[in-house]
Amino acid sequence: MTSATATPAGRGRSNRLMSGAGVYAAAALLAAFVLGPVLWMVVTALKPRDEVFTSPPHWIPHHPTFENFGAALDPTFLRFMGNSLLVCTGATLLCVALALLASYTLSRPSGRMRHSVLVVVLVSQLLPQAVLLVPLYRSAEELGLLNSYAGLVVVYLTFTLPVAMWLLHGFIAAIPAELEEAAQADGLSSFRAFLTVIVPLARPGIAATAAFVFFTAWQDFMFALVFLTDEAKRTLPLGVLGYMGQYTVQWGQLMAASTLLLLPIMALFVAVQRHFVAGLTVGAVKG
Amino acid sequence: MLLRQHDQSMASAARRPGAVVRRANKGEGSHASRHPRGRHARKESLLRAACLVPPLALLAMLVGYPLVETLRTSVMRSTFIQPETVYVGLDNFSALLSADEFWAVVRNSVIWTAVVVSLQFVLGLAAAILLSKRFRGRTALRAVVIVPWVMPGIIAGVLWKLVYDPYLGPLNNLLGGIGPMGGNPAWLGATGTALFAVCVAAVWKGFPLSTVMYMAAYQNVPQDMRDAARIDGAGRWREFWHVTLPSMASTMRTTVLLTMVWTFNYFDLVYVMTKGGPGVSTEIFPTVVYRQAFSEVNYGVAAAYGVVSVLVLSVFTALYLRQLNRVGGLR
Repeated sequence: MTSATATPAGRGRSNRLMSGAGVYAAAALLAAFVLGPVLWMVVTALKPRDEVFTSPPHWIPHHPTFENFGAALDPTFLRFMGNSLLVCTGATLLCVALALLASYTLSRPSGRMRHSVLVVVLVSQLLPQAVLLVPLYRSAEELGLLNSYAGLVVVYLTFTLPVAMWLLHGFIAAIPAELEEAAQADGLSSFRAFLTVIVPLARPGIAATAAFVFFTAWQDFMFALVFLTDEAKRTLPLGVLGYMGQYTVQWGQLMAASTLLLLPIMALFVAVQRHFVAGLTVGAVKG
Repeated sequence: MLLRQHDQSMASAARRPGAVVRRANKGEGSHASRHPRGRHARKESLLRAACLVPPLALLAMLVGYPLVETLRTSVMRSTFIQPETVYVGLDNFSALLSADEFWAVVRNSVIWTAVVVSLQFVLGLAAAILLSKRFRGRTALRAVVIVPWVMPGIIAGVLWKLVYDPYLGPLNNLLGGIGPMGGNPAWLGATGTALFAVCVAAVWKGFPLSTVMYMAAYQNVPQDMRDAARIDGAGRWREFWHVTLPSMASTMRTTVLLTMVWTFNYFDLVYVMTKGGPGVSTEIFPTVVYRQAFSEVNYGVAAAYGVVSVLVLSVFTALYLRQLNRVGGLR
């Protein structure tokens, strides 16, 4: 790539960072490291029950079957998935609405508090959730909010709201303020101008933020573990762990369920990847 | 990537102004000019302040209150057997300092954070450079490299538990095929290997984000600076050391600090793979806080652990904020 513009001084040398064959060898290693465990997940999910326990393990299932997927897709699993969808959608809507409200204030350079609010937001994003979890659990217990989806949705704001405020602020600040001012000059109030001019322009950023919130809520395990003691209310990650009994692990079913849990989030990620990655790197890749 | 994002919003913004003006004209017309400017501005800044109230109030409730409460509980004795809280001063902390468990947690957290962060840095950078080269299948590899990061931590944990399984897992089978291995080592079951085994899984789970960051930074290295180095007779390695790396330095600092915080706080993987065991050999701050609070119902000690980990994090956070300020991320 860089050799396209190489001068004679550079071309004659053989001390390249990586030669052609080296690139392919490195790429193969990287692919093996990244995909190896994932492929093993799928291979195990495709094995019938007794083949999972052959030692040494078969690299390719001798009797591939979808029975694990069938078994994993039982009504309980579907209920867990429903629970996850409900909680994550609720958390996403609430969080993005709040973050949008905040970004109306944060994205315009007028405010004096802006800098300190941004610092607070960043710091709260870096605090250990495990530490915050304990007092939150005890308050929720006193307030009778354990085992309730509403309680979980609110508690998810602990780790989603700071990131969402940070991301949205970045996206909205990238839209020229003159547009809002122009609309104001035409008689709209600044808030109306924000809603009717800026928000529609920021749609890709809002979508990426919403996806990020949904995505982190979907991954959550720790809060669900503590807040949902009622088995019927479990979210998907917690439910999947149920396949790991104390002494026996139903690996085939566990891996099939894991594959099923991974698919929707992969699809969502592929759909928003471009905005998402750009949003994440906005703060980091500078100067 | 950053540039593309920016261009795009600029472009779509540039397409719109006509529409904006038209829509605005249909509305309240020249209503605004009738009001004195001062009152308008005051009303607007009040509204802006009001918009911050709900999110900030929630953060105060969900982050501020638990933080203060942790501080308060850390000087209280509060256990399952004795739910009546009693003020005990710094007793919880002195109990911590004299417990072997605490020093094991400190040692594990240092190893865990240092190993995972440095390996994520090296692997993330190497993968980023590789994926910035031209080769067949690059697009596909770029797409799949992110998979571990997208995978929920708990799934990654379960998956790696299977990889490490002494009899059913592919790892021992693979190693057995390469060289003489003593028996079937239980990587997660032995105190000597468990922590490093979990570290490898954490590197796998987290390095794609570093790769994404470094890829973006690598592409932002000014080509004319590279060319200038070439003209001055620098070889590829010298160009890399003196041009590419310095241009990426600020992204590297930010990314390393972020991964440090995330790794130090990471709970899911360790909980699923080892629950902190065997013994306390993989116990780190988040898992010990969880265990002390919810298994042993010793809220005072859990809070003391919490205070110590917040102190550690405040150092990382201060460094991170300084770094962000330097690159203008907070402006």
